[in-house]
Amino acid sequence: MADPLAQSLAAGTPSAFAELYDRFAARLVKTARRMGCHPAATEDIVHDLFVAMARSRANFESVDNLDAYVFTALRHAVARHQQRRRLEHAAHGRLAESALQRDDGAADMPPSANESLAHALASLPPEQREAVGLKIDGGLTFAEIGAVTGISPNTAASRYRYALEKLRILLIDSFVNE
Amino acid sequence: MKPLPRELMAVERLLEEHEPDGPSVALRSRTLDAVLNVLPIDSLPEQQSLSNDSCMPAALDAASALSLLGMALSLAWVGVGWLSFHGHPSPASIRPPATLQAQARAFGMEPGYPFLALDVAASDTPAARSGSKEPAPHPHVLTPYGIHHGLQGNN
Repeated sequence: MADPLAQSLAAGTPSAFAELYDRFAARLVKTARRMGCHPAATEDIVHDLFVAMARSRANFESVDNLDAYVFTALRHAVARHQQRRRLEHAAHGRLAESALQRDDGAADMPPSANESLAHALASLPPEQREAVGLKIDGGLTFAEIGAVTGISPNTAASRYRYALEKLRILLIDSFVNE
Repeated sequence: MKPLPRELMAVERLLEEHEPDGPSVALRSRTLDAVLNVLPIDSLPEQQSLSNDSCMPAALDAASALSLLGMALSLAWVGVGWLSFHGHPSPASIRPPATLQAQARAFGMEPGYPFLALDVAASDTPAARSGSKEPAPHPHVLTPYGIHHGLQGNN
């Protein structure tokens, strides 16, 4: 059954977009940051995402799962942002290398307190990091993660599990090395 | 799906405890302002809609309209009384343009002279009251430029 909020969004009701923001903005920002976006860029991504959804509000007519729809839009926005960053990196060469590493890594964490976790997250394959962000920060179920990323719920659960296992090993290594 | 082993649940808890920062406070107003600019005007809240700003306020209801009508009728009645008191004819003496054009010709005016259709002269002069066919010696004709006395003399 369609979300009643989706119908109000399709009608272009301003209060519906305020409700959409309150329901999703914090989760979207945190998920994008966990997926490796730079903190400063993350707010612009989410801002532009809401404007884009308002422009194409007619699409809400056919939305059954609002969470899956919004996080799919976020995933595409993050992918576009990271693609742009890669192109900038290619254009500017080594000068942009360090900035890209910060952006793809976990610069959203304070370097002192969360350095180990940040490095561990940054070393995950992008699809596993994405699964962690959508599950922990987005609060999505594996079925929703599967819908967002175009994989089965079982595959989504496996990616998440692999991510946790790799993080555990990396964190143990970092503690041992300390 | 199998439940997570304890060591992986510990990692999960660690991730939850070290969640990234949320959005800044300013992002909400910045985003919603931009969204409002994208939405069509007719979907704005009712208190912001142009229709309520530009139309007659609801307070001006039937009672107000009736009182305005009463004031207009009172003013008309006072005007008619003032005209009668000064010996002028009642508005019933307003004539159709064809009659007035003939009279204008009798006053020596050009046929196309742009006068208004109100003649207060012919029906209320001593000559008219006596049944004479002669035109009034000093007719009063209301023109677009005011009341003209003795138009024959202007020619």
